[in-house]
Amino acid sequence: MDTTQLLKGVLDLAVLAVLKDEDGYGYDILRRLRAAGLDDVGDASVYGTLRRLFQAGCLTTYVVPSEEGPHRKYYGLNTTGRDQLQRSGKVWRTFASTMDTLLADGGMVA
Amino acid sequence: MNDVTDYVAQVRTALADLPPSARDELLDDLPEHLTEVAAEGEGPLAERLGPPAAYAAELRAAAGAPTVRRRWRTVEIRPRAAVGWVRARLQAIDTGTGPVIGYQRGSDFLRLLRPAWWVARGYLVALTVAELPAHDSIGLLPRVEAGNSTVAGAVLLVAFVIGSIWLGQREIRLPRRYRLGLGLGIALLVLPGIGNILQVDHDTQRRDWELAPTVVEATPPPMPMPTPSATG
Repeated sequence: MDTTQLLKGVLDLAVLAVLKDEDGYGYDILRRLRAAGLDDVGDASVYGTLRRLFQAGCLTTYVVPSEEGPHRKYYGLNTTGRDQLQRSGKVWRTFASTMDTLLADGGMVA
Repeated sequence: MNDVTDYVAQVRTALADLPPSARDELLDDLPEHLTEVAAEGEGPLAERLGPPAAYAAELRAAAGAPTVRRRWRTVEIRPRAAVGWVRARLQAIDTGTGPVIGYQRGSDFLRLLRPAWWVARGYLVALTVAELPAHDSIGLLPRVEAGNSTVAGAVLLVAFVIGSIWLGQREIRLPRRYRLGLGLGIALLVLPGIGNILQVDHDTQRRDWELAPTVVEATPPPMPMPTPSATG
């Protein structure tokens, strides 16, 4: 099964999740997602998702000047973002356990 | 850094059909972001992130912006979007043809041909200038009217080719509007030269065609038919 198709639906949640404990800038967020095992995630997808979540009012941003290299725009969760993370997280867990049960019943899981 | 600016510009072009405010919002900190990406690894961005058009498509999808197809109908009535669309098409052709001829982009190859174009246009302008005073001495080499001089024509040719190369190396640095005017002027001078070559080609074709009947006429008619005047 193509992971990129699955990823489309849950990238919001994944981005919110990696920002839960620590704010991050674009490339850093991409790296965290890949480190977590989402190897297929594309740079443009992450950047686009960040812009959309920001537009939706889920994220705060601030610029951190850097002495070597470019200024970095950090993204962090605000209250709306945390609410969203909690709600979407619940939906995902329910969905995932439903799928697990379905696959187990069908004899797909050993 | 140039790579980043270039890449962002191409992504922007691919998103030209979006309303300006939406596009600006979407691309707000893309330069900073890509600078970050560029700093983290080796190689040109287009190799690491894929072609700008594909990046733009992925960005469009992830940000929930309208896709090209949904906005397609409005393209015709929005000249700016139409220009952007044409530009994006040309860019697609540019990146598409490149690998076929063994270059990253088609324009990379065309850029290499620039000096050849300078020589060619020098020749064409020399043709135009040589043919200006009279139209009867049409040929493939510029000849000067006085005495139909080939030597003077050759000097003219060399002078125009050198002048064209000289200009070619400087015109790249000219501001855009000057280059547009210059291009128009050169086109006006080059076109009669091309017309001249087409005319020569046409005349050569005609001459061959006119030669054929002469040959037929030279052979005697196979069977002379008796005519009324001959019998009476």
